[in-house]
Amino acid sequence: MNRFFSSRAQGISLFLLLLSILPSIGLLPTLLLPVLLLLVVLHNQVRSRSGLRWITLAIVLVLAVGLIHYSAARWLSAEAIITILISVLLLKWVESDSDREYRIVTLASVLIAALSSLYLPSLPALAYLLLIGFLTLACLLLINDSERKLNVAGLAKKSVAISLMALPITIVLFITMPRVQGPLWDLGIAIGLPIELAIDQDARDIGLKGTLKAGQVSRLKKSDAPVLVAEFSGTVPYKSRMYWRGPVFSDYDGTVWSLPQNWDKRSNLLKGAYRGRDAVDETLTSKRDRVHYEARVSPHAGHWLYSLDMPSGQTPEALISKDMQLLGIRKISWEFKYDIYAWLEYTGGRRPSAKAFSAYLSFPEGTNPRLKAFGEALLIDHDNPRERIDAFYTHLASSDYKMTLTSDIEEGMYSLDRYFFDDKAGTIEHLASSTAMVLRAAGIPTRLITGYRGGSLIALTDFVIVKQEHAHVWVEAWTDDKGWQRIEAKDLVVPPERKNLSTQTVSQKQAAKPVMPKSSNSAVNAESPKPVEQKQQVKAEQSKSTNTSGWGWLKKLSSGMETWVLNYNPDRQVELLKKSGLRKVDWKNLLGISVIGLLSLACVYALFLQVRQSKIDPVSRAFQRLNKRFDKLQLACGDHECPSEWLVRVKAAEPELYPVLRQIIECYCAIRFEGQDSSENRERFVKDVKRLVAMI
Amino acid sequence: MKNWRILPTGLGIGFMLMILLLFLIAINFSNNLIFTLSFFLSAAFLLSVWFCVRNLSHIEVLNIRVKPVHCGEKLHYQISVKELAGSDHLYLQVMGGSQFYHLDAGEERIWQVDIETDRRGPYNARPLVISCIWPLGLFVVKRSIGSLPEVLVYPAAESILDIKEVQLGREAHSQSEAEELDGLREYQAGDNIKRIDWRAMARRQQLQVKHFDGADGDPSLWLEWQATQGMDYEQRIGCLCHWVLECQQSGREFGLRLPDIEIKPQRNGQHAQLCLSELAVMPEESRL
Repeated sequence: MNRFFSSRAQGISLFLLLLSILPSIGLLPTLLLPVLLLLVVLHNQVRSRSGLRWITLAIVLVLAVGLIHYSAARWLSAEAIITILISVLLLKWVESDSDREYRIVTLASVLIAALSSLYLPSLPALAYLLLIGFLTLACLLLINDSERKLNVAGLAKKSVAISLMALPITIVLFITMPRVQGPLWDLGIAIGLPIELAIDQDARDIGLKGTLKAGQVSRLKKSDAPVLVAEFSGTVPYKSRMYWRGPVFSDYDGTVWSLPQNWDKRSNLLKGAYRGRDAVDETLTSKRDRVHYEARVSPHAGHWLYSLDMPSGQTPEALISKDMQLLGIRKISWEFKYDIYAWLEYTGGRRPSAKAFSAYLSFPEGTNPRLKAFGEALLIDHDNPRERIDAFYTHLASSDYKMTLTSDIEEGMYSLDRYFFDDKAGTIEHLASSTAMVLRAAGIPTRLITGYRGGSLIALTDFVIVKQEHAHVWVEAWTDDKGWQRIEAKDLVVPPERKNLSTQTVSQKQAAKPVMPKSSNSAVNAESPKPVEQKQQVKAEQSKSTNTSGWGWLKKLSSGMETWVLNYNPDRQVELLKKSGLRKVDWKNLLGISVIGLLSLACVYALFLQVRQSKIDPVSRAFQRLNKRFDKLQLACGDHECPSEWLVRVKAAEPELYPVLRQIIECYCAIRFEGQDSSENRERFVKDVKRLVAMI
Repeated sequence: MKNWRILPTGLGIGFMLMILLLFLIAINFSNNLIFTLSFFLSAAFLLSVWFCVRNLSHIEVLNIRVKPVHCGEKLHYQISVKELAGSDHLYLQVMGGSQFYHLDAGEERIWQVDIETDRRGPYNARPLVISCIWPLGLFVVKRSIGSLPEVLVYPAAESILDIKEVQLGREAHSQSEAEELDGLREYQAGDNIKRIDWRAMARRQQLQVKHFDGADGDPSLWLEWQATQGMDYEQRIGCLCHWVLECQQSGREFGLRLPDIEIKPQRNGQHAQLCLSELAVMPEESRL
């Protein structure tokens, strides 16, 4: 041991380092790991010669860089970053020869361990990181114990003591510290960084276009490029209620939705546009939940500003088109900022012209005959358009449709038929297009809206970042009594991931049933199913089933860990603190609670310090008492003052006290300086001090 | 708390940076486990102050002794300390020195602390500061637990010239060095130990020294500032210091004449200390 490691610090820092790289060891190029380990084994030989040390380290570093280059990993990929970090850190360890350097290696190991833990499953990762935390403390302790005052048991005891005392603070911080969620780019954008900075060069051309076909939106969903950043004044709406309105399509040829030619000519844009502050509001038959927000839209070479549905009011350099989209007067070729109001729930709008009506009802000839027949059947069965829509909802909810990101359905004249009746699995474009076509066949005018739904909420702030991954397609249908109203088919279709759960089938169907529209008076969207509620029911079912098995407590513990540790997100934090009586939960309140919690704990720990009340030496206590009394006479003995010098001072100032004080001081000097520290002398001293103090 | 100072060490700042990076990683990946690790290490960071404070608490200074030294020698403080709370105190440093001191539970111990001197004259009383970074090394906590007493540092003795004997009959005594015993008198500090009458002590239980008639002793010396002309100012002081020590060692009676100060010839230890003290407090050349 001693031959291989020159110090205990060297050994334990290597142990921590190797432990930190263990989970991500698979990411290292195959050749690199043996080379690095060989270097560790031969570290004494490498370090003994200065020239050899630097040459070896340089060669290994170049080798690492070369291997990353040839492994075809991207330079900024996690693999490349971790490989470089591990290589540099191991090389640093090899060349280190002081405690200071081993401390640096220790701290850097913790960072590598944190990155490595991302490759472990949740619960093992938790155990791993706690072990790393514990070993970090042990490592620092051991490095500081340069005179070996602690043996292994003492070291472990001290580390455990620190860890246990750290637990209450950890829990307070975990619960109350404002839980900001990343990625960091989102935070940067939210606080004002240009959105373009977060968009990769190769992702600049993607986005919603003037045409739409199957798979297009699904491809967008793979990108996290930001589209817009919105800051709400007041409460941020639920994600599911935020529809960001983009291109509106009415023309469909059976495979592709497209916008009319020259639709973006200035004269066409202005034609039929809503003019005036209340122009939109006046055409709405019902409206609810008005919000105000300010948005920054990333450039995309189109006119769409992706306003929240339904825009209301006015904003400079923009107009609300006849299709109720907020459009820039010029193309958005640079970051565009606007602020506007929006109604989250609405029905209404201007009645389309006869020509437009025919476009909204057109069903391309020779395409999807079964779909057409299905719609026509609805028309025959139900007189009222509302009832036809309800019947369609019933069909969607009761059939086992699935949504996928990619689809095997070939594009063609019958692709929607195949999706709707055969495969029952497809992309959001398939679902929305089928909905629009069925309703058209049922005599209900529809149009297809593309845009985005939801967004990434920057926790504990009023910012929402909408990204390409939030791309969405939905349908608007016209009824004479209400006007345009949103038809959200997605909420009635079972999300594919729910299939992975064991007990959800029944509960999902139960959850789906109540959402069937019962009253034609209610707004369409208000009665859509809430995915969150469904998930909660699924979880409730799960917990019931786990309680029945023998390992229920373990599963319960695991479930509790999942809920309160692994998935403790900002929503849960807000929920917990609201349950504990806090009315408003924002980052300022949370920070305040954190500080209060820490101060309370500090008081408790301070009490711990006082518990072991010092047993002050009686002689010292008596002398302090005497000195305190003389302090009132402004004749206190200074800390630095020799008692005999003090005596001289007292003699000059208070000669009548001198004889008694002299006796006391002589006794004190005998005890302290002349080795006459007997119990007799001590008792005499304490007794004499008592007498003198009583006299003064 | 005015006696306490708490500062982060270089490692502590590095540790804070590491926690900050962990926090950013946790935010970036929205990873609760890394949040947990960063909170745990933050807690340990804060607690390290508590452990340092605890390590420095419950230590009492009983007394401090120090002996006079000449400039250039080390002031050798003997600090008697006692542990009061029944716990070990490890890796304590006194007055910022590099040496570590340890105090076991309930133990009473004398710490030897050496402090370099680089000038003559009074060294004012100053706070006795103990500090520690134990256990984690993230903070250095300092505590003042008393004061080091004021000390007078004598000039460094410089053997440049032999003593110039200045004998002025009317001022100098004759040394008490005679054949005939004049009697006994009570011992006083500084008296030549060779003159103690041990038999008398055995009889009377007190120290007495022999007193001679002083008829034909060596004449007393005057150590004069003027006699050191031609040297640097500090060299003159150093030279006189050397002469004082030489006279004390040889047991000769001597007086000291400095500008504006004259100390009449005597021979005991207190006299020598008085002369050395006067030399130590002579104003600096620049202040003349």
